[in-house]
Amino acid sequence: MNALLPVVSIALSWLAGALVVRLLLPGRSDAHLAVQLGYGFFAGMALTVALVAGFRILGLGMHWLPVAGILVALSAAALFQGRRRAAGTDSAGGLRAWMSGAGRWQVGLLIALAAWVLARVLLVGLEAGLRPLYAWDGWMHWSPKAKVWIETGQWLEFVSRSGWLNDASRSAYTIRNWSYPEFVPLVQTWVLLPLERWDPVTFGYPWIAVFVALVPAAYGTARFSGFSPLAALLTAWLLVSLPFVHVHAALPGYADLWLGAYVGAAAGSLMLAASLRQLRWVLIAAVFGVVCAWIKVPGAAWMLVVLGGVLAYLLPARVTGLLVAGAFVALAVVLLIGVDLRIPGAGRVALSTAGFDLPVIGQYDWQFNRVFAVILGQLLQGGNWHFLWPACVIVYMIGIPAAIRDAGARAAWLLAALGACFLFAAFVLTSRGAAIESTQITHRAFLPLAILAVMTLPALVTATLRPKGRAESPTRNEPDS
Amino acid sequence: MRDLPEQGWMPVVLAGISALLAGYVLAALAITGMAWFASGQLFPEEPLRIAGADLRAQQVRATRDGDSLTITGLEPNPGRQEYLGESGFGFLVLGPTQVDVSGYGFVRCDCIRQGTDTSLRFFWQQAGTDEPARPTSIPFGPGGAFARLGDRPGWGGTVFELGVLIEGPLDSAMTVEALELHGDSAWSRLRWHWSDWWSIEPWSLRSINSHSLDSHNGSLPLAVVVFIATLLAVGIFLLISRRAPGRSRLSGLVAMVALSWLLLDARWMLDQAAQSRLTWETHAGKIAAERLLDARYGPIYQLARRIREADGADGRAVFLISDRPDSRFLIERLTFHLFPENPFNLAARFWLLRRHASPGDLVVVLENPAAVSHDRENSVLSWANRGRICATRLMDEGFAQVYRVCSPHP
Repeated sequence: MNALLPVVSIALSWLAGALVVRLLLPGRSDAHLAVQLGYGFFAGMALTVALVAGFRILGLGMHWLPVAGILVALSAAALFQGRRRAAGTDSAGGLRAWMSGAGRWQVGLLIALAAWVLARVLLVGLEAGLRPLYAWDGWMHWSPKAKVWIETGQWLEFVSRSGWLNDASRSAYTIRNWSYPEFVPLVQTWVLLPLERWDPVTFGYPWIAVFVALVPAAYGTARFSGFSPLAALLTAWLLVSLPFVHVHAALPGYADLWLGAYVGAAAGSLMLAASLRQLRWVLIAAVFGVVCAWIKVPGAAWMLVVLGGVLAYLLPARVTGLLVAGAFVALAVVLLIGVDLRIPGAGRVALSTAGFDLPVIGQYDWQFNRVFAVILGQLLQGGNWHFLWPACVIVYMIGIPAAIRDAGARAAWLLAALGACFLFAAFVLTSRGAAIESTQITHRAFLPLAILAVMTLPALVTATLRPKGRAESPTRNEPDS
Repeated sequence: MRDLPEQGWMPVVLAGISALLAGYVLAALAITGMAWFASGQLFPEEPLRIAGADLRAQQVRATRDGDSLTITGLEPNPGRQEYLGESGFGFLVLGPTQVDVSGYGFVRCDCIRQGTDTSLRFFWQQAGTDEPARPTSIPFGPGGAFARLGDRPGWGGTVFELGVLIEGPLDSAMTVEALELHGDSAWSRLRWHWSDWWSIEPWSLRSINSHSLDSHNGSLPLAVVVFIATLLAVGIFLLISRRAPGRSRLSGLVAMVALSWLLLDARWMLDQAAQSRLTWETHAGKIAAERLLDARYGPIYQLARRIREADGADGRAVFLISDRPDSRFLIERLTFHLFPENPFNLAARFWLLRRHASPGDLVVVLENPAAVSHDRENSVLSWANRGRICATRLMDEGFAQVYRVCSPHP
């Protein structure tokens, strides 16, 4: 029975998020429900972690009930408000309509594919639900804080090694990467709070939930991008069938799946903004982008990628082009002149032709690494991605004309391009590239880009297939049945 | 994107299936042709599969100085190992290394040094198990060492350490021409690919960074092969379906890509189903502590439990010490299991300053570092002339000793 308590924690967050998203996108069609469920998880978990972090910052102690109470109250309010709004909205039931019009073989395919996805989720659940903490960085970075907090019932601080040695009271703890962002430890804390003890298996349940939530999120995004239910389910299957995504859910403990999922959710929100013509989804994309910086250090760069995509969506193509060119010129000038500032509360900001030192990101030297072949080899070998990368390159190349004329496709294209540029800059142009020789970071670094690519693919494909003469729909784009 | 229309989709589906088959046949022929072109023979007499790390032409120079033997790896893995005493175990690949040898049937070492006092030795672990590594020693013959391993019980898994053991008098130098792990019969590259592509790989500690299914050995990975086949199929399909409606062509195209993806995914699912079965057999029906004890680092968890039970530290520090670089994994795991005690990994600092150790603190010494010694009579823990603190032994678990800091320090 106790093992169910962490599930209750996750369910409360998910429910609150889903009901809030339902307020933003009311409707009862398959596409609406999928978006509410998928994005609801990410919204709910971000909201919950913010609440738990608030308790930590305000020194309000470590309690499950107050946070759960807030989530229940929020859910009730959203449910009440949602019912009032739903009275006037459609309930077209797109999937049902599609099924009545589709051939038997199409319906059969849809059911078979759904069963395949379900089998995959079960495999992930079985593995993550049985195996105790296995993933290395879980031991090192992402679980120690949660374990200490849960087992002591106090928000104890983690400090640097020197800080620990100089603290005779031994009131603080130390680990190698003590200053890493706390989103993932807080997720574990929230989930294990009702147990009041660390559990090496149930701590990983949220990773299963992320994996599950990606399915409706991808499906809903694809539906609103104009895909049929079968094509949308193919997209969702494409995403969760990526072996490396599967591995990170089945062996919970790393922050990479969380980062990838939130990058994907941010990109998907932007695609929804494009198809729904609703600015609120642009705002949601920006919020999810900010959450990325809270998950992992490279998340700060992914946040910039997302914000770049947001700008690309909001601005006309010509202005976006000018901005990108201007940004490159400005960067070149700053590099040549050299900047070295100390910002109170943030730390040193230094940029020169020798290297850079930025808050959160850290200090790196510029260094050209001939690692193209190594990266390419690693991405194609080992069966980690099936043939996602070459397929994506082809689709994104074909999608260039569509990206020029369609705002949603442009945002999709620019998001992927900015993500690829970030990885290129990190590994080819900085001293970080030395680490690429081993396979320790390559796949994890590309995980957010993979999820982003799949989430944005439907919008790009739809825009590419749209006849050239036909402009993008000026009205709200409801999924076709 | 829309699905196939109700009418007229059958010819498109047939065209798609034909194109897909043709694409795969063409890809298989192309790859076989490339293999033929590269090796000069379709079914090579000599199997040329080299395990994981490239061990070919590995040059190792051994220099004797008194009783010590220094073996220096030259290319492609430069490195250096020193050995004391009359026998030495020289790593040809800087070790310990891990080489997946599943499917390799015999091992051969061509060395200039000859004689029965030298043997090829390695430790290997059976695939899919956590059993201790088994040592295997193969004496050198006139031309080096050669052994057929395929018929040994349980053969196939991971080789951890691979090297040459010199038990007799040492020569001044030794050059290893080649050290190779071979397949046990002459299969074509396609056959090797087939066995590689469909082999089941359980979780390994590297899974989280790169779960690798194909060992490929310089040839094309399955994902690339399937992608090339799909591209060929798409090309053929677009040619033969020119008269079909655009939407039908698009649906056929998507279906072909999805089928190819499904092929790769089916292999992955098969692999994962086997893994889940293994996980179920290992962990199902056990409480969390039992699962941790049964896991790879069970003894570390057990040690942490004993320390926590015996400790009563009440916020006291637990210092962890080892001077072996490869102990990092043990120390980090022990650190984690010790929380919410207050552990501190001394590996980087190596010795403990008196001012940092208070009476009641614990010191855990892992894997008997040479530089740390304990004088039981005088209750003194010493760090190779760098520091001495007062400490009494609390427990000895073989691979780890636990001390409690006392006072006053000597």
